[in-house]
Amino acid sequence: MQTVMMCQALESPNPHPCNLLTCALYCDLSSASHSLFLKESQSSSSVVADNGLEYEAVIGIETHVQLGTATKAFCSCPSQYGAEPNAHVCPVCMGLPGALPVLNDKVVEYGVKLALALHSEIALTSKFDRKQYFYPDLPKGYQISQYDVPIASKGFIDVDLPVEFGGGHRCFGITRVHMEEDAGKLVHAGGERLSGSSSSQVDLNRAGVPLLEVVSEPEMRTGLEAAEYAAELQRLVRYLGISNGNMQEGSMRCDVNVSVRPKGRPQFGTKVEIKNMNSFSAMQRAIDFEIDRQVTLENEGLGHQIKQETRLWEEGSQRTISMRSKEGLADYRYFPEPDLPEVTLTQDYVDATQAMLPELPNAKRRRYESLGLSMQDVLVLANDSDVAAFFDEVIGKGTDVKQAANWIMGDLSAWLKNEKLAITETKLTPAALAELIDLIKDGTISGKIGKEILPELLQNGVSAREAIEAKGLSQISDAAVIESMVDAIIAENPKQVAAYRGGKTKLQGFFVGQVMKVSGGRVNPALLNKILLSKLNC
Amino acid sequence: MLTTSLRISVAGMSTKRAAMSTCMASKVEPPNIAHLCEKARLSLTPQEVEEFKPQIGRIVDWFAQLQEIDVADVAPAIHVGDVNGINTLRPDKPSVFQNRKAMMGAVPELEGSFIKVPKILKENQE
Repeated sequence: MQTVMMCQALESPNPHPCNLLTCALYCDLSSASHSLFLKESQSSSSVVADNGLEYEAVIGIETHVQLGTATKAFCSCPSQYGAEPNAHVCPVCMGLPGALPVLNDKVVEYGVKLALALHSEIALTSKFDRKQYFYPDLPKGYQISQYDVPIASKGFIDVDLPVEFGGGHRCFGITRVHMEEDAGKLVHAGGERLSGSSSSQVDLNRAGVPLLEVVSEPEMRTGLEAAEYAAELQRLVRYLGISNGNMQEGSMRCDVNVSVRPKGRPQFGTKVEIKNMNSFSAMQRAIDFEIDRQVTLENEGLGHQIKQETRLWEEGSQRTISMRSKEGLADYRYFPEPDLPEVTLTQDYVDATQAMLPELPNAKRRRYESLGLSMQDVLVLANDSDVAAFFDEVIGKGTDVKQAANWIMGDLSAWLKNEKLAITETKLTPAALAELIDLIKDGTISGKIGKEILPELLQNGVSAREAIEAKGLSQISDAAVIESMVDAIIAENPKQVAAYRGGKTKLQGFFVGQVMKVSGGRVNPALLNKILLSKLNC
Repeated sequence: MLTTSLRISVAGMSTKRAAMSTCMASKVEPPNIAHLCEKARLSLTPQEVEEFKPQIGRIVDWFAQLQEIDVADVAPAIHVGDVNGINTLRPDKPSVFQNRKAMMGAVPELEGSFIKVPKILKENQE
């Protein structure tokens, strides 16, 4: 970690990881402005109940990220979505006697990458443990996981809240990151009812697929903050290329813990777990509903009715419903996995991995901000690493930043959405877009013409120059030519000229339209207006 | 994994027991056998549970000798066995297991390509 300068914020025991970094970055500020900065960075949302009492929600999130490796965590079975049930199985992942696990080196690599991206402390030596329980989708009767010595701990993640929800920056602590394996898939015939079929079906293709579990500090205070935390984590794993982070597909799963307490009280309230949220917006709605439910109960003196339990989010009725009692902590009889040696990393390996990391979302957002873009634009451009890379290449050619941003977020985005393509799938190169923008800037074509020819660049990969020449679309900026056009239009429309000179100045638009029609839209609009006005007003 | 037929020779234990009674070892609680059997899905009769209690208790006491050692300044060992220098990781290259048919053939009941199991609604039964 950075060497830290003398700073008030660090005098507290256990300074927050976010503060350590902000100290290193901002310690040349006076202490007054520094503490103000820190205060702004921390969330301070409270829920005000009907009687005016203020409550605070305490939210923690456990996320399971399915890694996009070619093989499973502990065997060489292909890790593939959508295969025929039980096609990718072997004695190891089926848990047959005598089979031994061997760790996939990519799992370690991805684990270190995520740990570094979350600014956490990496354990150069960590181990695996057996988490023991019985369930039909768990072939061995235990899950290989990491219990007390995980690969990483004590990190943080930077989040920028969307502008339309008030914006703001947050920094949430990460308790730990660890490696583990996924269980198989259990399909209940006849639905989840007790009646109906008495059997279920198991597909072990997913058993043994590598997971990274990320546990956050309970520092989120609203459904919005929780949803944005999850979105940023998704953005991070996609930027790193370690997972597609798809909540709908199940490659990223979030379980949320929510409790409430009167504002200012140090003790936590009863913790309720919420499962079954399939999107960020579902997470936000579920958490806000649950906060409301708990605050209402607390406020009516019925706080004892809040049980430590697991509740399911019901998308249809938009509410959480009780699933079962959590009955205190489960006893998984953890013990060190005897079949796996410790995971040993060298500092060189960690440093080399750090050097290979791409520019992370938060760093990109700060850089785009420094370019003068609005926060709104920054959030859109930095959301997808391919779009950001495209943008970086365009401005790398010296193109005007705001113009590049507008073209990418506007016309280009709209076309991609319509064609259902990704930015990497078009024939338009960043260089071609840069050229188009420059041609508009130097007056060769108008912005309108630029928009007209963009689809050709996207579909056929022609350059702007080629498209302009092919269609003869270059802008007319010769004053003499424009003057003769204007003279002709004035001569042809004496009535409108008289009306204009009589006071109907709005008719200027009519004349502009006429000249544009005659010239195929190619006249330089600014020059046209100047010449037109001088001729009409003489 | 443990088998249910566990028989311990009691003969040599008594002398060790006498020696231990004077040591300052902190007591390690023996496990609740009935509880452990339920957790590990072992079926012992109540008679067997009573039979095994003292035997397991004596094994725990024997290991409890380790409590005498002062490890206040010793960092916990992560794992037994030194594998330094040996690469224990596997490259991420897929290979299909050749005898899948034999494995699936040993499954008691199949439903199409799925493994048929009794319906259990309560998750994480530990």
